[in-house]
Amino acid sequence: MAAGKTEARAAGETLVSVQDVSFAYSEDLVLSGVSLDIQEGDFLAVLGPNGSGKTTLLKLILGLLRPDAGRILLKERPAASVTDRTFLGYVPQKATHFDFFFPASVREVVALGLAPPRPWDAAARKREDAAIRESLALVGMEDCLRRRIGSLSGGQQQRVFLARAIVHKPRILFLDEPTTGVDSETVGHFYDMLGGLNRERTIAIVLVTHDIGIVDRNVNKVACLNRTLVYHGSHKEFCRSQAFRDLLAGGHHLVAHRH
Amino acid sequence: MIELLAMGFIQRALLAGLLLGVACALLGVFLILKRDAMIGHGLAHVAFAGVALGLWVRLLPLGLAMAVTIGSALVLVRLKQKAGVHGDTALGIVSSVGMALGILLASLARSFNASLFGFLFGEILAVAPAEVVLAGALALAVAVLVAVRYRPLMAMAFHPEIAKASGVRVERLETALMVLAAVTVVLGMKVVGVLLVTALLVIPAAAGLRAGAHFRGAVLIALGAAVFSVVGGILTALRFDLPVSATIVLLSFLVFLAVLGLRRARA
Repeated sequence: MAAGKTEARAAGETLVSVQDVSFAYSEDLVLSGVSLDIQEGDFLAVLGPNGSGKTTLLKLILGLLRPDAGRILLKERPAASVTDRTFLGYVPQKATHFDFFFPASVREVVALGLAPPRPWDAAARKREDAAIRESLALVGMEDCLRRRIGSLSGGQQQRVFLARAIVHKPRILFLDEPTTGVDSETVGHFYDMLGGLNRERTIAIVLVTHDIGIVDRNVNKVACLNRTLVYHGSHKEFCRSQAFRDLLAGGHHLVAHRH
Repeated sequence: MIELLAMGFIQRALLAGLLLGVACALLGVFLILKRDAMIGHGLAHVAFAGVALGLWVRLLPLGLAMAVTIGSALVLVRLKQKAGVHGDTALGIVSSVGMALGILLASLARSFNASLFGFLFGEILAVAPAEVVLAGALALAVAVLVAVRYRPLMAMAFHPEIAKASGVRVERLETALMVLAAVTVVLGMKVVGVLLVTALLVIPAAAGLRAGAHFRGAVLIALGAAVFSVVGGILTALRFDLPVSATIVLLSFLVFLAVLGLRRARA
């Protein structure tokens, strides 16, 4: 049932199209000629060794960096021209590396993902309140609404950041190493949460990770990077691919490969 | 004291101080959270150079200071956003160059005199009606920016990368904050002086950020602390014949200490 559903979703709209993209930090070429599409319903794991360009690819898609060559389309439009970004959510690497003294409640942090209702529109304020509670309930943090964000543990903060990223009901969610520094039990719950969002809410998920174990859990596609696209396809074929064997072997071959 | 309050120049001082306090508190909250707390200090040095230039060419010291300071704020933003220079480094360069230029120009103009010292230490009791209007316009501009762009500003201060990915125009907001900070610094010179304008931008906001259980609360406490410090400082200085600017700053520091004490007592 789940597999059938995944297949049906995978045939949906192309949300992101990366077309022959290259990018360099000064003289250091980080990505070269990368092309891939991300479609509705995808749960894509972006794997690769350190310095392989995973985070750079994500930042290019999100418009935080501009490609030196090639182009990126969001919903079939050039990324730079897409000003309404409510269809995407983002949990960055080191999301929880913020000022712990920042005087924000959990509610205020999650509300940042929404356009503010007009102060005199009581119905809109109620809808906002319901959306915030719903997204916090989804990540199991509904009891922490009034807590100060800095007083939560790293795992709890990560879940609040996830709630902030999904509160506006995005169609695609980008996560960059979201479980760094989180204990293994919490990591398992976190991945299950993402699987649930992908299956039940039909949110496409793009997860940049070092954790090759994620391939076994919820993903249906894998992109393996080493400054260029080494592999892009289904997770089942990935497990039989040379790229997978290289990663398992410690990624030495992948890391050594530089343009 | 009541007779004093009936005097026009005292009323203007209170009104200008109150309006400036509102602008400083609102801007200060975001500047501190963006790690730009010392921006007021740096821009004040530049403003000093602008005033010295005005005294040298004998033309509108306040207007020239405004132009020079806004220009420098825009240069600072460009250095940070485009040239990748760290904010504190850019500020270190701009503020020391500004002060050096100010001293040089003041020396050339042979104007180390009362008018220059007025800008250094503040002349709130000599605020002109036009300056009150300017302070009102500034406070209104800052209040409108914060009210209309409250969430994007908070998102930028909290996590600029997520804000940018979500479509917040982070660079535009940064530029708007910097320009308003520049205007605040120049008007603040008249109230508390170049040397102490940073204090008004930082101390009430720092008190709010330490005391607030949530962001909205922090902003409101910062506003309260600023208004109390400015109005209380002016009245205390008049009552005990003390220097006004120093009294305002020291009172704001007492408010900050009280906030820390209350937090500790609650904990």
